[in-house]
Amino acid sequence: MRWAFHYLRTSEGIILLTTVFLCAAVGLLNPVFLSAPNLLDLVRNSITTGLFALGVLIALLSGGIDVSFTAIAAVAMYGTVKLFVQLNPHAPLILIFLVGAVIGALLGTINGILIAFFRLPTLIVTLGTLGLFRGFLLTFLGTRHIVDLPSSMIDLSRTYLYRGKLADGSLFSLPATTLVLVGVIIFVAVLLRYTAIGRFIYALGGSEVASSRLGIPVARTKLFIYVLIGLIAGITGIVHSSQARVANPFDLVGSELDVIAAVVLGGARITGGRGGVFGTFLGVSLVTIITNSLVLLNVSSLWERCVVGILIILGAGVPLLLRRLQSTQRRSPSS
Amino acid sequence: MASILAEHISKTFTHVTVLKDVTLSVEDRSIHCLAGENGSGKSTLIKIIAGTVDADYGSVSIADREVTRVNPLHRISLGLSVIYQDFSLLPNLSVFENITYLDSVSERRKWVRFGVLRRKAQQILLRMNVRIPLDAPVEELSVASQQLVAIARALCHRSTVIIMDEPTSALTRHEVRNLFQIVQAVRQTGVTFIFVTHKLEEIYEICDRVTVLRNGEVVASGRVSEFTTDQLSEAITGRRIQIERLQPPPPDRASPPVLDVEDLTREPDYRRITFRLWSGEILGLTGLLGSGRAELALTLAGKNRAESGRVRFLGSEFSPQNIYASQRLGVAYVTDDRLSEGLFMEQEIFDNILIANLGPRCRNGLLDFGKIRKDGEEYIRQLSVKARDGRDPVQTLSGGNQQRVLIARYLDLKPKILILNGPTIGVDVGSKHEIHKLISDLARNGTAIIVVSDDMPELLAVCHRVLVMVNGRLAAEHAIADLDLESLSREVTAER
Repeated sequence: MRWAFHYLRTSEGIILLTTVFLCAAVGLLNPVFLSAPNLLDLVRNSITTGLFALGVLIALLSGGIDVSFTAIAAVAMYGTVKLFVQLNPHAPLILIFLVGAVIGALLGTINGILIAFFRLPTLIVTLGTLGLFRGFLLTFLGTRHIVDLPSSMIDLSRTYLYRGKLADGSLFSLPATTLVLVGVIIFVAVLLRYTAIGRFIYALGGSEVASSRLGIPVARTKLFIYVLIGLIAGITGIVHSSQARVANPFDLVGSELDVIAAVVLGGARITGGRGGVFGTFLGVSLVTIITNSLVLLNVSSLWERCVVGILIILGAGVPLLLRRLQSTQRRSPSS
Repeated sequence: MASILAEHISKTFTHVTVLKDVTLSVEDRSIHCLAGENGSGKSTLIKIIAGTVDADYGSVSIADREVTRVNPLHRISLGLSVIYQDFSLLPNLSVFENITYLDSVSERRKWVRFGVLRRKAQQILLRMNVRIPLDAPVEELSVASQQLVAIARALCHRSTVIIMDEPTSALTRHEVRNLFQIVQAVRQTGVTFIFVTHKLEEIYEICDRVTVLRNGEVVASGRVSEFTTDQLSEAITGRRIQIERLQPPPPDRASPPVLDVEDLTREPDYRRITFRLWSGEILGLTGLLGSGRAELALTLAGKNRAESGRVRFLGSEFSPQNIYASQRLGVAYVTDDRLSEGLFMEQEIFDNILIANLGPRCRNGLLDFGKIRKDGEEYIRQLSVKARDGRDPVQTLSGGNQQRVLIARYLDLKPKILILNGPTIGVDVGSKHEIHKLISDLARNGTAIIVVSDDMPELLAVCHRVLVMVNGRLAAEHAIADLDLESLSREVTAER
């Protein structure tokens, strides 16, 4: 009980409360919100953001940041699709994912080398590569939308884990791509919690000086982090393009800050060392729900930005204020 | 058998010789003190032993194994742990993870088993006989507990030699005693300690042997019992124990005070502080880190506000909104951290001196560089700052000269009250003396000065009176003539 009370005062707890409260409120005002089609829609809409967010979480935990992941995803998506359309439009899905992941990982390696071995600041490096990767994509790979995706990607977009039909005849479904999100969530959660390298990531975010004095291979860990983020971004690109049934080179880039916002909202400390997969999941859910519910409540979706902005300040600010208050109380004598 | 042997170590950093033919031999299972003032070369020697800095000449061995060319990590695995002043803990992780971290890193485990780690940490804390919540994040612990976690981490890694760099600088007497008991107990289990300190009473209380460094050379070495307090103190400071008193004549206390502080309170930093300050007086303000001395000084400087109480400055109500406002009124504050909040390290010396008072150096609203230069040079001469050119970046100066540049900035404001926080931190002995004379001269010319410091000899050297703060309260006020070094340090470290 005390544990629960304590938990609800952390930023994760506050976001959890907000999410539950928001769902209940919107559900009361407009029951459509809690209907199966709408809920599955929420899931579908959060897959890309959710995948990206896991990468961002890793960067933030280590005390860094990555803003280039959308460009990496766009290059991996467009490059892979273009490659297979020309070489083998009927290649198996696993191969397409593999190529996308490898392209992503390679671009992530560029980030990683600049950050780990040249010790450049993460924001500068990834801001630079964000522009660089995107420019490379539009200049050398092309600017045309590709709608004739490889057949296995189209098949993926038509594969559903669950399909249902409402009384009025409208269809709803849970796309198979959800499995990718679930898989990556589990992978990242286990990595962060139960592996040595996961703990290295937290340690780096706590104190880089202390980490290197403890003998943590700082450079290697950083390289690993940015390669992994690139790899996740590559996979995200393929998932996104299958879902959209188009490879649009102008897509994705521009949503970096929204993803970072969702992760921060989920309790990840921007200065590193604190945060988790569950919090990130909540952050992404909350952002998706807000967007969705504003529409359902007939509020202009232009309000979305304001609401998310306010929530970030509340979500990150309230726990800080609470902690400051607590430490003041603790230090003053009880008399 | 020597568990650590550093022989004939020499080290030069660009032009400055930091260590000259230093030999340190630490017996197995002893508690060895490495003593010396700031800048004596002890931290460099520690870094050379730890392997994070390479010596120019000389060799290091751990447990009779030559490690001069061995990297720091390998030295850790040979049983050497250094607990730096900042402890190098991971603030965001739990106590048990911090304790077991070295171990998991060096064993190259791929998977983390929390249950195993937690039990291991628990055993270590039991062995040390201390209670610390295993699951609390380290950043929520007190300084004393953090230090115990650092020791536990070293033990968990089966360290045979633990080097502690200034372990008591932020601890109360009770916490120091507790730490010493634990260190003694751990030593019984076969661990060797090297204590880096400059506090005489600690050397006698806990150490078996002592090596004293001064200006990069070993000036004394042997069993602690072979030395008298006076001998050790002279070895450390290079001076007779006699502290040169530089106080100007005492102020005229019949005249109205410049500053009259009454019942000033800011929870939880300090409470019910009452004192007065006269023109031409040098008032010492001392206490441990966290005793509230810095916060009190910052309130007077306009940085943070008191919750209640009253301050009268030159007879009128004084509660400045910010530092700028208090400077306008004639109260200047010199920070104790010139590197991060005092100087603009990459900027010119001239700019650093005059930045707080550019108004008089303007013509028609634009900067007059001729005047800046002239005024800047005047200060460089007046404070005898050793600089090649006033347009050099201030980071090219030595610590003592940097500190003078910083003080010059606030002298230029012609303050009625000058608050100096740690005026000689990280400054060599010669500069220290110069700065003390400067403080004395300023007071002689009528400035009221508050020196915030935990450097007891410094307080004895310059102050007329000393206020001692303990845990936010004014514990004592003394005329300096009534004080000696030992009684003053005893009061500062009194129980909460």
